[in-house]
Amino acid sequence: MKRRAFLLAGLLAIVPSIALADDALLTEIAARVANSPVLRAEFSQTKTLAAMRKPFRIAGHFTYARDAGVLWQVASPYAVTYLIDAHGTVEIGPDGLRKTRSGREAAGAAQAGQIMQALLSADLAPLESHFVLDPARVPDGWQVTLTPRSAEVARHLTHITVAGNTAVEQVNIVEAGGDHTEIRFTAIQRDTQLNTAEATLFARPD
Amino acid sequence: MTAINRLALLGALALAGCASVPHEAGCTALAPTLRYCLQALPAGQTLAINQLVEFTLPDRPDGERLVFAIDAREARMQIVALTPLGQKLFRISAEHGTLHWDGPQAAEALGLRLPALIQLMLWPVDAVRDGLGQDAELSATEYGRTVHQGDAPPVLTTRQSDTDPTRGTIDAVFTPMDARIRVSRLEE
Repeated sequence: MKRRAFLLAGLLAIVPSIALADDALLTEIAARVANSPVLRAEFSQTKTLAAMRKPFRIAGHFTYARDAGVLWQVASPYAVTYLIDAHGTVEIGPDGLRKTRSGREAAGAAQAGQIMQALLSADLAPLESHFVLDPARVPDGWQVTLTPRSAEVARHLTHITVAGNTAVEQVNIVEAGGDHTEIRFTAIQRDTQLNTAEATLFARPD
Repeated sequence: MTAINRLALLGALALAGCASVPHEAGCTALAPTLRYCLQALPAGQTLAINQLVEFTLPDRPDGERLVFAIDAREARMQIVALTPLGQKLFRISAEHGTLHWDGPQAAEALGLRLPALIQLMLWPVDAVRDGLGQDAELSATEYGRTVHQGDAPPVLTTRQSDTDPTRGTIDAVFTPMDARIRVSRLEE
């Protein structure tokens, strides 16, 4: 019994130092990713749906603007652009026609967009109230696993894994129902401002 | 009206006025006196495809776009509806005529009719004829299908780009709702 108590005391003593190490690693990751005002990348997304044999794949161009939101320009297998910002979600067709999305679908996309924005900037602290963050060093850089704190969210989402080196290069979303989404970012570029074409797409008509 | 409701509405194939039609397991009312009962794929035949579905309605001339992932084997059929960005909207499972809905409750009653519409467009002609029973007639050519009931205007007309309706594109008109639908198979 004394031996067990001793072990327990030892474990309890280690826990705070693990937490400190995690905090230090999260800070290091944020510094390595060095949150740029504008980030551009090519993306490929594969969604594997439970009990479905054929995965669903899209690919295209991605633009993250710290002060304006996120632009997903799908180029394959069809062309469509989604602007997700603090105001909500807008679908922009190949003809430039804009459709503002509302309701449950848009609310979900906006929430996912906010989470994605935090993930891509590696600014994970705002997510700590909703997720348990588990950072780790891996051979090619780092990865952070986010596990939902609330049972409500956990009913839909098992965990999210974000991985990268000097930028976020991969996001994996594992849903409770068995669906799994993998997003890979390549050809990542940083910039200080949006170009004219991007600024036009981000602009919201009054 | 949200995209999901519009889709469900479209999938309902003009259920208006069909409330008095009794529902059997796996059977869907297409018109006041017309039902379609879900059919199994022939033994050994399977289907696993992703499709882009674009549709317009009189009050939505700009149209809507959704992705359908369809997976079927014999009497089992799964349909997952996604936004073009890959966000899941709902899932419908059909097995031996029993339908299961996983999605917003508000769209359930109408959305559960989608399997019937998909089968009318994609399933083998003989299976579709069995599903329509004595209620309606299916005219089929190599490049299209028409579902009609007596001398009334066709309920559904499809024109397909390939002799195999699961390939290429299908342009369909669902007359009771004046709905125009384009279905395009998404290739890898």
